[in-house]
Formats: sequence, C-alpha cells, structure tokens
Amino acid sequence: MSAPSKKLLSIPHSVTIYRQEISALPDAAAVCEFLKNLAPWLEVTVKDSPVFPMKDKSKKDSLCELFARARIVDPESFTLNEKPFPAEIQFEMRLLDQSSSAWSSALYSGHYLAEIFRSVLPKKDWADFSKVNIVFTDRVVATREGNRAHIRYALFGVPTIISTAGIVYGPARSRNYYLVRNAVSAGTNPALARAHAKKASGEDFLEVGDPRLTSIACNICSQALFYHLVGDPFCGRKSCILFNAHTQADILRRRKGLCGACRLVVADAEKEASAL
Amino acid sequence: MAKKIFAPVGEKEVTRAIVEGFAKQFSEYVDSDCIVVGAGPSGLQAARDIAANGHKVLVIERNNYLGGGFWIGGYLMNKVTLRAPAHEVLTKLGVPVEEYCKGLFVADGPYACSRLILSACEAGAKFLNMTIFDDVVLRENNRVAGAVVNWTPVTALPRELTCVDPVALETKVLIDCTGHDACVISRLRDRGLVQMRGFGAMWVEESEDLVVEYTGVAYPGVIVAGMATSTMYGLPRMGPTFGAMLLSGKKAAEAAISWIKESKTK
Repeated sequence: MSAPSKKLLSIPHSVTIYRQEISALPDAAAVCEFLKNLAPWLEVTVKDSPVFPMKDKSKKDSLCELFARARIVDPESFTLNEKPFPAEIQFEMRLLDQSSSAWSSALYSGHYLAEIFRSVLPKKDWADFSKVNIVFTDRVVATREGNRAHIRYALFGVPTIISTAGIVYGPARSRNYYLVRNAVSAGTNPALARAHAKKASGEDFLEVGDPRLTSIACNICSQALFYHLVGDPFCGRKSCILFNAHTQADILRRRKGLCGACRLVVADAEKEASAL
Repeated sequence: MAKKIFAPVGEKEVTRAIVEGFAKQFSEYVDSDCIVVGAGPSGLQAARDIAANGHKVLVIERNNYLGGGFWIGGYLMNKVTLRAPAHEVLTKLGVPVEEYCKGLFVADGPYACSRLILSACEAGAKFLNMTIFDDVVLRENNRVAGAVVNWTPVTALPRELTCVDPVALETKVLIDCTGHDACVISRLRDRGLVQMRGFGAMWVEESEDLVVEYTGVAYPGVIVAGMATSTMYGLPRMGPTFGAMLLSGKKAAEAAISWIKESKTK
C-alpha cells in the first residue's frame, strides 16, 4: 500500500462528529481535541446522533424498518433482510429508545446504513465535500468482499461511518484464538467461549468498552479527514496513524501520529485553507 | 383383625376417578385463555405467570414428565446455572442458589425444576402430558385460535395403525416453548405463514440476551419463547445455562396477558 497521494482533492473546513446511537462511545471531546491539534484550521463539533432522539413516531417507525432491512441475514451470500420480522423492527425500536443494549447481534450493510444516515442528515451538510461528517455507531458494519460479508471498522464516504463494534470485531485476532474459540464454542454461550479463548491464546485484543477505543477512534477520524483531503484514507506506513489495520496487533500498535509524508499533506492543506 | 390402612375402594372406582377427573378437566380446558406448548423452563415460567394473573392456562407436554432439560445442567450433571439477574426468579420461588463467580449462580436441578413445576401448579396452570402438538387451529385472516393435539404414543405406532385422529383445543393465544424444534412456528412455516431463519443466521459475538429480546408475538395468536425463539430468528444456541429461558418465559407471559386482555375486550 502506498502513501496517500499528495495531490489535494478538497480542503475540508469542518468536521462534525455524530455521537453513536447510544452513549458508550470513546471520549468524543478527546477525539475533537485530537483533530483540532492535527488540523488547526478545522472547525470540529460534536452532535447527537442523527437518528437519536427521534420524536416523530411515523419517521421513527419507518427508520426502524430501514435498519431492520439493512441487516445481512446470510453473511456467506451477503443476503439482506428484505422482509424483516415485526420482532426485528421492534428490536430496532428498542435500540433507538436505548432500552436494549444488545447492539452487536446483527450485521448491517455499511452502504445501506450510509443511505439511512444520509436520509436523516441535512443534505446541505453531507452534499458538501468540504464538510466531513462522521457518524459513530455501535452496529456491526459489513461490506461485500467477493460474495461474503466482511466486517469493517469504518466505511469512508458521505457520511463516514465508524463502527465501534467493527473496531472490536473487524481486525482479526490471532489464528490460535479462533482455533481455541471454535474448539470450545459448541454448546457453550459465546461470551464464555470468547473468554476462554482469550485466556488460552494469551492475545491482547480490544473488547467492547475498551478505553483504548478513544485513541483508535482519533486515528480513524484522521483517516476520514484524509479521505476528504486526498481521496484515500490510508497510508502504507505501519508507523502512521493512517495505516489500514487488518489485525488486532496492527490496530493496537502504538503510533505517535502522522508519518512525514502525511504531515506534509496536512501542511499543504493548512496553507491552502489560510489562503481561502 | 388388624385395622386396614387404606379405605376399601375397588378397581372400578379407581378407574372412574381417573376417567372422570381427567375428562372433567379436559372438557373444561378444551377452551382456555392460553395454551403453552412445551413444559420446559420457559413454558413453566410462562404458564405460572399467566395463571397467577387469573387466566386459564393449559400446558401441553409430549413427555410424561414436566420440566424439559431443567432437571440437569449439562453432561447429565444436575446443577443448573443462571446468570444474574435470572437467579432472582429462583430465589423468589424459594430455591437456594449459590454464587459460583461474580454474576453466575448455581442451583440444584431437581430442586429448581420441581419448585418451578409446583409453582405453576399452585398458580393454577393445568397440564396435558403425554400429549403432542400436531397443528394449529386457524380462523379468519389465518389468526391462530387453538391447537390440534394427539396422544404422544400415537406417533410411535406402526404406520398402518396411525389413523388415530387428533382433537382440537381452542384458545386465545398459543405460546411456542418447544425448544429447538419450534413445533408451532414450524407448522406456520409449512403453511407459508411465517419465515424461520434457523440457527446461526444472525451474527452474534457479544449478545446473549437475544432470546429474551426476541421473545414475543411472532404471529397473530402465537407467542414464541425459549429456544424456539432461537430457531425462528436465527439466534445462537445457548449452552447449559437457563437464565434466558426463565426470563423469556416471563416476557412471554407479559405478552400473553396483554393479548388475552385485548381479546377479551374485543
């Protein structure tokens, strides 16, 4: 993977972070502070989720149906949930009402979710590429790879979706972890199998609510910013916070910040922003 | 001559007592507020709560014993485990529970199961054991209005002797607590009335609350509870822990009570 192109595509002037649909997100203020230090010309704000709270009942009903339809019912063939059960729609309602915390129970199509978020965000915001919109969600987001669903920690686009569950489950754990987990999983509840496999493999990996999610969220928001700056969120250098992590070891690697080449991109953008 | 311990009653009285006692109850429960299919932990819990609310509940169980898998915890070892807060259900029934580690409780299987059965009986639930669910009774707009049942031994008869017609029972709401088989939902699926996801359709790493989350009305007149929920919605198997079964039973009862009340006001 190569370093990001130095040719600027756009100069974003604002970043809006929409808090995830319930509140267990990485420290949003810390993410804001990080982005302001990285790109001082940016106006960074944090808003509530575009889907919560939603008072209009009919809009809420149709939104819940859309979320239920965005589910992938067969990950092997990436089949979407064309005819959701009423119970699935009601379950989505409980998620929006925050009366359930069972978020990571289903896979959602990332592209379908982006469409849903676009439908509730003001068009003047998302249609302007100089405005970076980042929606945090607890849903497990996936995109198609071959025929199968592949879990993603982020889907860069308009808006960018960052999945906290995707950060935890997307980057692969060690082979040994999966071997142990599969060996003990039959007839056991998933949490017990996972705890056993974690202990047996001795591997460090992220878990839901892990305090390290904040610093990782900072890195992924930087990737979202670069998506708008140069059209590519990633950098090929492992030491750079824009590195596209495919494993837990990668995502947990300590990084100081942008690499030299990516810092130059930011410096160029800052110059252009001050000239505007 | 020594005084006899037992009253002088002949065989014919014994037989009449059985027949008339069964027939009286059976006739009374041919029409009920709720039929619970399956007397495992979720079915017993649901039946108990609905009956305790003053409704007429009939539980159908294909085995001669009640309790399903609640007698034993796994690998034929008779300790059952429950994660908090489900242990409180047993505590309220007077079953001693011991905290094995933070949030995980262990109880004696026979103690827990027999107390739950007793509690359902004391609440007023009635049972038809050795009775197998055969089909649903459908009314206008394909609303489910009852269950077609037969003696369990009929299923073991040779093919040429199986022309034993079942009978139908009417009810306001049917609860499918038949475990992984999801017998009621399967019948509706066979008629093209509902979909079933089957196991593992849902990607699950974290959540073990889903059986409770998805317990509820699955079709007009049918509530799905316990592991039948798992079959219908593609949730993971639970392993040898029973908390979700008890809480699912409680949630099914709430849904049934609400359904019954609505039916009575119509």
